[in-house]
Amino acid sequence: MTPTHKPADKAEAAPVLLETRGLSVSFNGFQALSDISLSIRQGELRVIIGPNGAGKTTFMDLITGKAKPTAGQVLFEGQDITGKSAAEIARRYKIGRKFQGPNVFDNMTVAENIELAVAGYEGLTQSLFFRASARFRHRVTEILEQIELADYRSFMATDLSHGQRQWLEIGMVFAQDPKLIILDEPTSGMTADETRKTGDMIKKLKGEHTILVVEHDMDFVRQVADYVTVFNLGKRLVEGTLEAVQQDPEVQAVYLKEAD
Amino acid sequence: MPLLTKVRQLPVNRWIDLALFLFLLTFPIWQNTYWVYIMSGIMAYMIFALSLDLLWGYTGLMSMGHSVLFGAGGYMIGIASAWANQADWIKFDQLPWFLAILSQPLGAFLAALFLPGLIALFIGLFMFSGKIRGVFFSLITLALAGISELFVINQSRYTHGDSGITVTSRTLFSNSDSQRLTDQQFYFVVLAFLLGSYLLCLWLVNTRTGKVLQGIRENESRLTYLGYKPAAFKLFIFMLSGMMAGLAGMLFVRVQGSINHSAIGINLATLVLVWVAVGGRGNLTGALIGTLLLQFSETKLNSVFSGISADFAQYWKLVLGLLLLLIVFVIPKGLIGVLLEQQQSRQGRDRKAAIMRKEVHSHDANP
Repeated sequence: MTPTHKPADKAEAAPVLLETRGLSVSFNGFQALSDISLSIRQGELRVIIGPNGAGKTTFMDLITGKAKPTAGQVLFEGQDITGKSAAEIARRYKIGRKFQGPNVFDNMTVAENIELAVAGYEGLTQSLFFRASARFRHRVTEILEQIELADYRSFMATDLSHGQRQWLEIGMVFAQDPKLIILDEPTSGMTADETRKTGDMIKKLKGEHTILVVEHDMDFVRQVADYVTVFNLGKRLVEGTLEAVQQDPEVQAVYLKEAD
Repeated sequence: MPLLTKVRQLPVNRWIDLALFLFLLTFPIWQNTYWVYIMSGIMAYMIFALSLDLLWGYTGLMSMGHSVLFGAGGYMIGIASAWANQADWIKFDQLPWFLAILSQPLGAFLAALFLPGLIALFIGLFMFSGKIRGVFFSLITLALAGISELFVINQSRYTHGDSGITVTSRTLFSNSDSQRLTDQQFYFVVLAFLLGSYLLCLWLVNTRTGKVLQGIRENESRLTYLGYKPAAFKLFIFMLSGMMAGLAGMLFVRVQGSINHSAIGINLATLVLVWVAVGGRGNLTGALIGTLLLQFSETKLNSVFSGISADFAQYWKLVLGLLLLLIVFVIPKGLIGVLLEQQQSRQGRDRKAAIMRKEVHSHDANP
């Protein structure tokens, strides 16, 4: 299970941002993840693929504090964040996560959704006496433009289309100004056109932000990914450039089996 | 944004609020003392309904025992007044240490405001740190209302048990019989507190904190992953809501001139839920209008039907129950909720049309 190829670009030289060491978790005796060691460098865009039940979402849960591992460690900028609370991981360590399926504040406007996500005002007294500065409003507009929802700012989130709601949640993650952006199936339920636009949004962030994406849609993966990790049955199968991974006989076997 | 557009985009219910307060302001001019007295009580109930709307309508915490906090405020006034005005020959030597503050002139006022806040803090610490949510929050608060009712009936030495306490002083601070405001004067005291409470709520729900509270209602776990700690916000709003409920209880007892166990028990806890549900949750106006409509109709119908049947009060509860069922099935958002929904869908259509025009236009510009 050695990497088949080294990452090709300059990310090689950048420091490691996120590292997991021997991460394992089991739920009621079911081993959902076993011994996942992975490291992601600053500025890297990493895509995790794998069939259903491979443990991709569980892996995200362990990083963001939604679940606690039974063994292993999560290191972020060299600090141990294993088992810390979700709020602390979001606020102190600045890891932002978009969940599978749009997870937004339905009966609030698009702008309110983004405003709530803008980082730095999470305390009770901070938020009580908070007044939106020109810079703050500019930031919100900037994000709305980034996710193509500038014209929709006064819409209720519940009135948006499924794809737009996905974008809204992606925008909320951007607004958190995170050091690591985690996107769990950002294009699920999107039209081909929306998927392509989402790919463009993410590619624009490449280099400046460190991004970890879980995705099923292979067109999308082809569009954005250069370095890919494949999960299967709770284990890390292979890692490498997309072309190399696609040539890998083990990966082909897994995906062919799924196609049956 | 030009002022005119801003005014036009104002939610329709703010105009209703304005009309309501103008109506309340002029009410004593053209109404007799009896109705001024009735309306004072209704206004105290409106403060109570507002406090529940903050908690239930905005934050999504459905307290089924909010009367505990209302009654705690009311009983502080009741006990203080009973102690100050009892005849010398039955005077109990001293108030217990934790009620000693009630013997001070300002003490009862402060106790009525802060004791409910403390109770809310205590209950909230226990529930929110234990991650008790949804229907479990409702059930525990409901149980607390039942327990509190039994508690005040049993503590008859201070609460006069089943019969309750008669409060003869009608002032803001003093508990002595000799100082008494007229019905008209006290009407404006209650109105001032109602306006103050309303403005506080209106300010709060439009702050970022208010948006966080709505975020808790909409999707509490999402907030956690944005770095918020919802428990702190829930504790804050529960305490504030508790203090407002205490204020309402205090004013109501001063208006009514008495308090008994029904003000702290399940009876009132259920009533306030009905007022807010009928008027509509999460917009403040619904709480005000729901309370006004239902309490006004009860009084009016009572005076009409009391000649026909002595059991009117029981039939009224039947009517309330049927009305609640009807509202839940037909307009779950309540009366004001329906109005707001209509305005929002109209604005939504306008915005969609504007976006369509823009897209067609940009398409023409660069084909």
